[in-house]
Order: sequence, then structure tokens, then C-alpha cells
Amino acid sequence: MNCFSARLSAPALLLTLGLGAGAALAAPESKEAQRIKALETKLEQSLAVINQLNQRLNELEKRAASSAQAAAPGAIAPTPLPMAAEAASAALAPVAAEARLETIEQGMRDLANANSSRPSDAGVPLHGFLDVGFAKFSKQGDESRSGARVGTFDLYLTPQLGPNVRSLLELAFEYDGSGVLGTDVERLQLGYAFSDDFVLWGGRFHTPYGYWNTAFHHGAQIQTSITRPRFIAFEDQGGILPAHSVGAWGNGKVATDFGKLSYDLYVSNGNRILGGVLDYNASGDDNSSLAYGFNLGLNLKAVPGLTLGLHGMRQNVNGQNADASVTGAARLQFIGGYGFFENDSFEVIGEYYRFDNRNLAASGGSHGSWAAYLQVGYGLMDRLTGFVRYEKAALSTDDPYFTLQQSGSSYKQATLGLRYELTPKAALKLQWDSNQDVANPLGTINTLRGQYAIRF
Amino acid sequence: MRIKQLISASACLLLAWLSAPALAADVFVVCHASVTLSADEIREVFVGEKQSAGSVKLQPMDNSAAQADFLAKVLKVDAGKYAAIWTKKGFREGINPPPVRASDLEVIAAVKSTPGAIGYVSKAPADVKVLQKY
Repeated sequence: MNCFSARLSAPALLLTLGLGAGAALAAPESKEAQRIKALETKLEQSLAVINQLNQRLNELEKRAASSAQAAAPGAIAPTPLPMAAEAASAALAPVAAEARLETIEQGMRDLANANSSRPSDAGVPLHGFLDVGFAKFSKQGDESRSGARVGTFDLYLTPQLGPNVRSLLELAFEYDGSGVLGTDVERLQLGYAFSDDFVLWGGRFHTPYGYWNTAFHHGAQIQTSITRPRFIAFEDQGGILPAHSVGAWGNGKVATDFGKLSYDLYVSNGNRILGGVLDYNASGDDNSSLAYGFNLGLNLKAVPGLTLGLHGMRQNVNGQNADASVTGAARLQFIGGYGFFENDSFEVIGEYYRFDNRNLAASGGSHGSWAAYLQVGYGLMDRLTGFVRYEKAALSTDDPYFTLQQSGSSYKQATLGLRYELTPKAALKLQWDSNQDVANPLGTINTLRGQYAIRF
Repeated sequence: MRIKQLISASACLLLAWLSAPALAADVFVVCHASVTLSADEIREVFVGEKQSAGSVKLQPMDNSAAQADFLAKVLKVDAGKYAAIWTKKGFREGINPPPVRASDLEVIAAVKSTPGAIGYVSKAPADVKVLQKY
């Protein structure tokens, strides 16, 4: 037992001596000296505890040895040789300790095995996003009423139904501009992963054009700004592109010499324009004209964090009155490009769409238009990000695809904002933007927005 | 004076030696015998970019006892960033983050018995395949 004590105390004494000498050399008032002094004190306290434990162990072992001898029948009365008893108990102690340790280890192994074989599926995990905020418009209109507002309460589920089966269900609750609560199944996708290179989905999904639409979906907390660029907003929020599709979508990623190539190919019901708003025809196509499109993205190996892509879409879209009578028809077709870059300081997103739409009515004719935005975010401080965005849509006034839509007018908008990360799951945002829409009789409207967005 | 300096230097070295293990604990990436991956692929597996290796469906698992060291040394992100990566991954692609095991023993037991399993532990295990040491 004394050996045990000596083994422990030797390095401690060496450390104490070393620390003491070191402390003596250092300036008495220096922080280093104070730290060493504190360490010395802790070491002394630890040595005292070790000594107490050693004494207690000695007592217990002596008691155990005495009991063993007394219990042995016909045992010869022990000769009072304390050194011999101590030696015997010292020889027995490691064996007993080893047996106890083996029992504990086996117990822990059994527990670990039981835990590891426990099914990891403890139900369907529920996740979501929620945001609240305010908006102050410089000019009041039907779609620009100042005041506090409830944002989107978004729930999504990703039940695991097998090693290759994928599923995603997203529900959103939000108030529209007139204050009516809307509930929508934003995404309802069932997929099968044949490999990392190919996943096939069916159902309702976010149309994979550009970057934004399939990167942020309805999750306000994960997008840097408060609002989307207007022309790629959701259909009922001023967007002019079919953000949702119902059909089939194949995607995957393939490693190449230049980097990872991602691809999306989709076929879905074509949209219609109902009451001036795009509708994705969830219950069958109104004009039996499929929509189809592609998206190719290359995550460049030479520039980590940079993705460059190409995208395109084509479909025939009818305008419908409330009584389902057709008011016009157009072929939407666009091709464009996008880029995304992210590192520790910067986030840069840009998208470009070049439209070459056709009027499918008797008058015919093709119409060129374009829309684009560029957003740059920069980490100003530890949790504070500043961002700027400029967006512009130059849309033909003769193109029925745009003229049939309430929001299908040319505009330009500049946006400035700040985002502060309260926690990794909660962000505060402040955004100012100035919008100039050629069709808005109010002219330029400046807006100040605030948002508190969380995810869970 | 020279002896004092020597003792002082020894004390500093001793302190550095004592504190070193706490600063940089080793991380061993372990896997089922059916799995073979490169260092780059290990990272991809734990951020959801790689989900199969040939015909083997990969089953990554986190280890709460060694996660901080794994994230710092292998993925080079903190816990908040790691959670954000998986939030985006789940929201975009419908896949879930790796299940979390509580200890090295649990990870080793699961890795040994689950084809495609890959995890990480803080001590070199004797009876399971080690892919990488960090």
C-alpha cells in the first residue's frame, strides 16, 4: 500500500517541486505565478485526499484479512504478524479487484450491446420553421399594409420507411395579404434512392430551377434575407414562375474530374393561370400539356464553395376565368444560369432567366423577356451578417404568360439588410427595400421589414 | 540560477504534457467489415453527401462522447454548424441525421453488428475495423 502511495506521490512531488521553483523564478505578481500557485494548492489538496484514501484502504484490507482468518475452521490462531497479514491481503486484493472490474466491464458491454441493437426509429421526427415580424410601407395599398404580421408556420416530416425509400411532407400555415389563413401541403414527395447517383421522386415538389427554390423552400430561418427575390417568390406571393410542380422528378450527384455534378430532370402537370395567379394543377392537367425541365449544377473542385449551374423549362399555360373558360394561352420557355458561393465570410447567390415565350392564341408571336438577381451576404461580426440584393425583371407587355398574371410586370428592386444569429436556431433580421414597379400606380415603394425566425 | 531555470522549464514541460490530452483527443473512425472508404468519403458520409458505397447502404452514427473532437478534427465545424447542415439536408432531400450513440462501447457494438455501419470512438478498439485515425 505504501508503494501505491509512493507511485502516486512521486510525480506529484516532482510537479510540486517544479511548480514551486518555477513560481519562485517568475514575477510574484504575474498571472503565470498566480496560476502555478493555484495549481500547487490543488495538487496539495489532491495529495491529502489520496493519503486519506490510502489509509482507509489499508484499514479495510486489514479488516477483511482478519475476518477471513477467523472464519476458517480449525484455523491456527493467528500469530500477531501484521506485516505478513498485510502482505497476504496485498496479494489477494488485485485478484478481487480484477474480478470486480471484469464484472463491471461485462455489464457495460451487455448494456452497450442492448442499446446498439435497440431500434433507432423512435417515431417520425417533426421539424419546422416559424417566423413573426412587421413591415412598414412608405405608401399604403392593397398589398402594402403596414403593421405586425404573422409569418409562416411550416412543419415538415421525413419518415424513414426503409433503407432506400425517402419521403418528405411539408405543411405550411400562413396568412395571405387580406388576412385569411391558408393551409397548404407545400411538398408531398415519395422517393426511391437507386443509388447516390439517382433518386426518383413522385408527388408535389418544389420545381428545381435556379438555386433558391430548392435551397430554402419555406424555411425563413435558413435564408439570409427576409424576402425572396420577387420574381421567384411563391405563386401566391407575387412570383411569376411555377414554384411548385406535381409529377415526377429524378435527381442525383455524379463525381467528375471538375467536381461534383448535380442534376435534376422533371416532368409534371403544366400550370394554369387562375384569377391572375399561377396554379400547379394538383388534380390533373387542364390542357394535357406536360411541363418539363432540367437543372445542372457543378460544384467546382478548384473553387471550394462555388456552384455554377444551368437550368431550363418549357410548358404550355392557359389563362382561365373563374368559370374555367380560357382567356389566353402561352408557351413558357426559359433557359438561364445561376451561381452560388459560400465560405466563412461570404454568401453570394445569383440567378438569371431568359424567356422566349410564345403566344399560343391565333395572333401568335414570340416575346423575349428576362429577370435576374444578385445577392451578396458578408459576415460583419461574429453573429452579424449584412446583405445587399439587386433584382430586375424586364418582362414583355405583349407576352400573355406575363400579362395574364397579376404580378407579371417589369420592376426593379434594391434591398439592404442585416441578420443577427441569436442562436444557431434563431435569427433576427432587418431589411429595407425600394421597389419600382412600372404597373404600380403608387410608384416607388420603400419598405422596412423586421423578422424573428426560428427553426426547430 | 541555472538549476532554478532548469526546474522551471521542467515544470512548464510537465504542465504542457499534462494538458495536451485534453486539447487534442484522438478520434478513430470505425466501421463494419463491409465498408471501405477514403478520408474524403468519410467526411461526405457524415454530412449526408454520400449514402452508399457500391451496393452497401451506409449507416453513419454519431457518438455523443466523442462528437466534439470528431466535428473539430474531421468535419472542421462546430455543433451548431453541424446541426444546420443536417437541417438543410433534411429539408431539401428528405434524409435524416445520423442516430446518436452514447459511448464508444455502444458505437463499437453497433458497428460490429450492422452492415454498412460507420462511427467514431475515442480509443483504438481491438476488434473492429478502423478506417482512419485523426
